[in-house]
Amino acid sequence: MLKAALEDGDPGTAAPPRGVAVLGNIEDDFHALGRKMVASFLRLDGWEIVDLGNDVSPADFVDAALEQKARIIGVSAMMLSTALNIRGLREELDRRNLSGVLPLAVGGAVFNMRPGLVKEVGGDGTASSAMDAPALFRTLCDNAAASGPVSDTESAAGDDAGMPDGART
Amino acid sequence: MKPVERVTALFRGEPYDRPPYGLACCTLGASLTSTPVGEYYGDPALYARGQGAVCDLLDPDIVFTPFVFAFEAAAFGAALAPQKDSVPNVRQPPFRTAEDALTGRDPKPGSDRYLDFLVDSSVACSKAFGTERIVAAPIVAPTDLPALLVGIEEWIETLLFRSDVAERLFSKALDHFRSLSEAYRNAGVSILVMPMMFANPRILDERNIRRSALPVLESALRDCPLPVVLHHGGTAFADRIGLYTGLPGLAGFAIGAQDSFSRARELAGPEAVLLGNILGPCFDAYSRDFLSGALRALVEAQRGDRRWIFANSGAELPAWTPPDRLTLVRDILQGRGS
Repeated sequence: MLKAALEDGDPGTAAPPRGVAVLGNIEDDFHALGRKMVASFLRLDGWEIVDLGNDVSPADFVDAALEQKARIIGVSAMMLSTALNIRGLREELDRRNLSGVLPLAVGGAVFNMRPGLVKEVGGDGTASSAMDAPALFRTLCDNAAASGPVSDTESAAGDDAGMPDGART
Repeated sequence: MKPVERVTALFRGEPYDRPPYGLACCTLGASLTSTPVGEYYGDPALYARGQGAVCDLLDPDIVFTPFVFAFEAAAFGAALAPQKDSVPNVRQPPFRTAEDALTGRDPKPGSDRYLDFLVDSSVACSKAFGTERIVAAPIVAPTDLPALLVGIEEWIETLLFRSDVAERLFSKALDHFRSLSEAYRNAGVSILVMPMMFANPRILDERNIRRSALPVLESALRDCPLPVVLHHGGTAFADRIGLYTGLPGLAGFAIGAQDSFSRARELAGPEAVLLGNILGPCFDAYSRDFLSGALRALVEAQRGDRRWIFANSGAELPAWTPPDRLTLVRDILQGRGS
């Protein structure tokens, strides 16, 4: 019921609209609950959520982020073996010159157990619980927005209309 | 002392020479024997060969049978997602609703290939190591099996709002637990290790644990043919360990890396066996110096505790853990070198 109410409601009702966040579980990961909880808290915070579901490839994450003009990608993995697949997403962001302008939030149980994993997989930050996710997403987007020129990125993406909002500020 | 004598002495409260230890190195055995994970988790002989390689390096007191809970779900029809370097995951639970699960299949060891792999690997490990070492089998708690069968969200809804259906699904889970634990006993397993998620106050509120989970655990353990170690399941639980101390048939508690042994001992009592607590999934990331320091500090802190077994906390060690981490653990626990 809560999920339906959140999805039906105007995300700007309770909080100012913050833009689009693309969420998903990385390739080979099928533990959806944490991601769904994060999505709920982000919606309450005013984010428009594009939830790609489980087992999402790096290319699909980035394609969706560009298509949806997302400001940030949030990727979830519960186990160490699948969390390491996030490295492929960072490589994809690097390949398209999006690192630094399209932030990558990472999360899942294993990141709480092994904090160094955030860096290992190329994440820009993590939150210790779903409730902390909105603050993380805002901070990462603010940092990205302040990170400087994006002309190279726009050029690499090949489509201005597809650039994340955060990249333009 | 032989490892099996050492562990037995510890459980009986008799003298022994040094702290026993065991690490869950199930998939690591595949790496050590250069066996593809898919083949390794399909052939009991390959699994036992992998554990033989683990024993050569670690010389543990306790050897673990396959830690592949997805296979218990697969026996009920779950779709699996094979992984290159780790155990398979559940891609899709076997049932959409709890009601569907009630009428779904009831797999038994001896007539299901996934359960047969678990049991036959236990037989192979018992034959290979059982006269020397304790063979421990991980098993899904009957309080957690329903979530594997229908998915976490459906199970939470069932547990909270359809208690009659939840009770019937618990009954199905208990039947499965009983038949698998009996098969493990017949396979030569000495002890079961049972992680708990939906009986852990960090996951489920205490009122629901008392109302629904504890009676199920009590029923499971009362009839269980093997002693059971309750495993923290990934989150801290030492502060609430008193919830479980009255359960029958308990062999001990495996606490989390974030748990305090002194707190666990205080609440579990002087006779309880405690296991832990360096985090398994971090063994590859810890440097030798860090691991050495942490383990020596733990050994020193636990020196006066005659009911402590060193074991990893959390999930198993990564398959790519450097072999020298195993020899390091062996040398420190066996008092070899400086």
